[in-house]
Amino acid sequence: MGEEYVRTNGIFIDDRPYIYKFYAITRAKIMYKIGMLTEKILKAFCSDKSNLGRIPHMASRLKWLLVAESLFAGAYIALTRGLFLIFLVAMGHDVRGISFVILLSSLLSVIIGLALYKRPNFLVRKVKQKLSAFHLLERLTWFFIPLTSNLLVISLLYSLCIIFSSFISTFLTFTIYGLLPEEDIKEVTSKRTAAGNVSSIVGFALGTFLLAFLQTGEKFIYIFFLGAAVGILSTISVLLMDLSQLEGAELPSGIKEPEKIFSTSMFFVIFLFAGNLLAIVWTPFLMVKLNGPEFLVASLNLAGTVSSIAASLFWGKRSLKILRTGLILNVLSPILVLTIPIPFYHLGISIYNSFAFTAANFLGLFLFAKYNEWFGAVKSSTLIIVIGNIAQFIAAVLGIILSTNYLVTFLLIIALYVSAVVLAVMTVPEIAIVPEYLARTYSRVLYRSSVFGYRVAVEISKETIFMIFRLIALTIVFSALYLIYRILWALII
Amino acid sequence: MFKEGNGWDSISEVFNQIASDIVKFIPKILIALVIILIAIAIIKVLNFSFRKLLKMAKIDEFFTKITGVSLPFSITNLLIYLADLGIILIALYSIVDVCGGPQYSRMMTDVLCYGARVASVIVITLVLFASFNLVVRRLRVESRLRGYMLFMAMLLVTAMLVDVTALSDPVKTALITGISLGVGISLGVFAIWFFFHEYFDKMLEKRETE
Repeated sequence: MGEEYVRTNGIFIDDRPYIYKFYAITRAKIMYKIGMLTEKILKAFCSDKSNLGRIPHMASRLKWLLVAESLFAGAYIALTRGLFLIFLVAMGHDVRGISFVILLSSLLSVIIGLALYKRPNFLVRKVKQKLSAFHLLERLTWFFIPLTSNLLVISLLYSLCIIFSSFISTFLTFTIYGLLPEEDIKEVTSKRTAAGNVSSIVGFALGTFLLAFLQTGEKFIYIFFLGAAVGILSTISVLLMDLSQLEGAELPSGIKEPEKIFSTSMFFVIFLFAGNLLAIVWTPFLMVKLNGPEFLVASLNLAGTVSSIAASLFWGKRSLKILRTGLILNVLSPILVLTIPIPFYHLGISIYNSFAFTAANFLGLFLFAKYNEWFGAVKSSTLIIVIGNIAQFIAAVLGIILSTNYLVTFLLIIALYVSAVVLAVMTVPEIAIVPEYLARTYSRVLYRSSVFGYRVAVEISKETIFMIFRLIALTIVFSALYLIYRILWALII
Repeated sequence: MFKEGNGWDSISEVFNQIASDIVKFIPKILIALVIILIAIAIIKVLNFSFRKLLKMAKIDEFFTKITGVSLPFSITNLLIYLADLGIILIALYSIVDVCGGPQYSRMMTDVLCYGARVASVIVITLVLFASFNLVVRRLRVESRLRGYMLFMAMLLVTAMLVDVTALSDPVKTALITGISLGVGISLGVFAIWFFFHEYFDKMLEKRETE
C-alpha cells in the first residue's frame, strides 16, 4: 500500500483514483467486520486468556497433533520401555536388580510429581520449549541405554528417562486440560488412548520380530535406536503444537471444593493402585500357579491392548454415569482371574478387564476434566500425574512384598476395587448413587476426618522422629563414654 | 659424702648427672605438654558436643518423666564430668607411662584401682542414703523403724569403709565378719518382730492376764 502514496513534506496525500479509494475503504470495512466477528467468536469460546485454544480450527489442529503424538509415542514406548525388562534379563541382571531399577524410577516420578504440584509455576513458563526439550531428551537417552551393561549406569539413565517422562506426561496433560474444553478433553483422551494402543501393538509386533530374527548380540542397540527414532517423530508433533496460550496460565489461589478433589483423588488412586497391582501379579500367577504357556502371556497383553482400543472409542463419548458401570464391572476382573483355573480363559478375562478398566480410568480422567473449570488446568494435570505415580509406586512396593502370596494379593486387589467403587458412588457427587447433598456430606466428612488423621499422623511422626533423634544423641554420648573408658581400661591392663 | 680432694669433681659429676637427666627429661616434658594440650582440646570438643547432644536428648526431663524422681544433680553434667574424668585419666596415665615408665604406670594402676574402690564406696553410700531417704519419704515410716533402717545402712557403709582402709587383712576380715553377723542377726530379729509381733503381743497379754 505504501507505494500508492506520495510523501510530501512528511504528509501522506492520497492521490489515487477514486476506484482505488473505494476498494480500499471496502477492504478496510470488510477487515473491520472480520475483526469484530473474530472478537465475537473469541468471546463466545473463551472465558479467559488460557482458553484461547478453544477456537474450533486451532483446537482441531491441536487435537490431531496430540493424537499424532500419542500414535508415535505408543510404538516408541513399545520398542524401548516395553522391552527394557527383557534387555535387563538379557544383560544378566537378576530380579532384585530389576526391581531396584523400577522402584527407584517410580519413586523419582512420585517426587517430581509432588514437586510440580507444590510448585506449579514451572509448568506455566516457556511451556513449549520445556515440553519439547524433555520430549527430545527422553528419546535421546534411549540411544545411550543399550551401549552399556553396567546396572548402575543403566539405572541412572532409565531413571533419567522416567524423570523426563514424568515432565512430559504432566506437560501433555496440562496442554490437554489447559487448551481444550471438557468435551474435547474426553474426545482427545479416548482418541489418544486408542492411537497409542494401536501403535503399541505395531511396536510390540515389530519388537518381537526383531528380537526373534536379529541374531547379533547388538540387537537391543538396533531396537532401541529404532524406538528412539520413532519417538522423535512424536517430538515433531509436539514441535508443531501452538502452546503459546498456556504461557502464564492462571493458578487458582485456593481450591473451591477441596473435599470433591479429595474424594475423586482417593477413589482414583485406590483404583489405579489395584489396577497396577493386578498387572504385576497376573503374569506370574498365570505362569507359575496355573502353568500357562509363555506365549499366552504375550497374547494376554495383545488381547488387552486390542480390547482397550475398542473400549477407548466406545467409552470416549459416554456420560459419567455410564462410565460408573464400567467401574463397577471392573471389580469382577480380579475375581475371575482368581477363580478361573484354565489359563486360556484368561484371554477372555483380559479382554473384559481392559474394557472395564478403560471405562473406570476414563471416569477418573473425565471427572478431573469436569473440575478443570474451577480447579485449573495446572493443578488438574499435575494431580492426575501425581495420583498415577503414587499408585504405581505403592503397587511396585507391594508387588515385591507380596510377590508369591497370590491369594492375599488378589484378595487385596478385590478389596481395593470394592473400596474404590464404594468411595466413588458414595462421595463423588457426579457419579453418586445417593442424593447429591448426601454425597457432598460424605465427601466433606471423609475429607475432614482424613485431614484430621493426617494432622495427627504428622504430629505422631514428628514425635517419633524427635524421639529417634534423641535416642541417636544418647547412643552417641554413651558410645563416646564407653570408648573413653575402654581406652583407659586398655591402658591400665 | 664426697671423696677427699675429689669434691669438686663429684659435685660437677652430680650437676652433669642432673643436667643430663633434665636434657633427657625435656622431650618427655614436651610430650606431656602435648598430651595435656590434646586432652584439653578433646575435653573442650567433648563438652561442647555432649552438651549439644544431651540438650537435644533432654535426658534430665526424660529421666524425670519416666521415673517420677527429680535428681538433685543434672544427669547431663554428670555425663560430661564422667567424660572429662575419663579423658583426664587417659592423659594422666599416658603422661605417667611416657615420663615414669612401667614402674610408675603400675603404681598409677594401683592408685587408680584404689581410687575406683573409694569412688565406688562413695557412690554406693550415696545411692544407699538416697534410696533410704526415698523409702522414708514415700512410705511415711515411723521413727523407730526409720532409726533401725538408718542403723542398718550405717553398718553396711561401715563394712564398705573397712574394705578400703589400710588395716591388715586379718583385722579387716574379723571386722567385716563381725559386722556381717551383726547385720544378719539384726535382720533376723527384725523379720521375726515384723511378721510375728501381733502374735507375740497377744501371747504376752495372755500371760499377763493369767
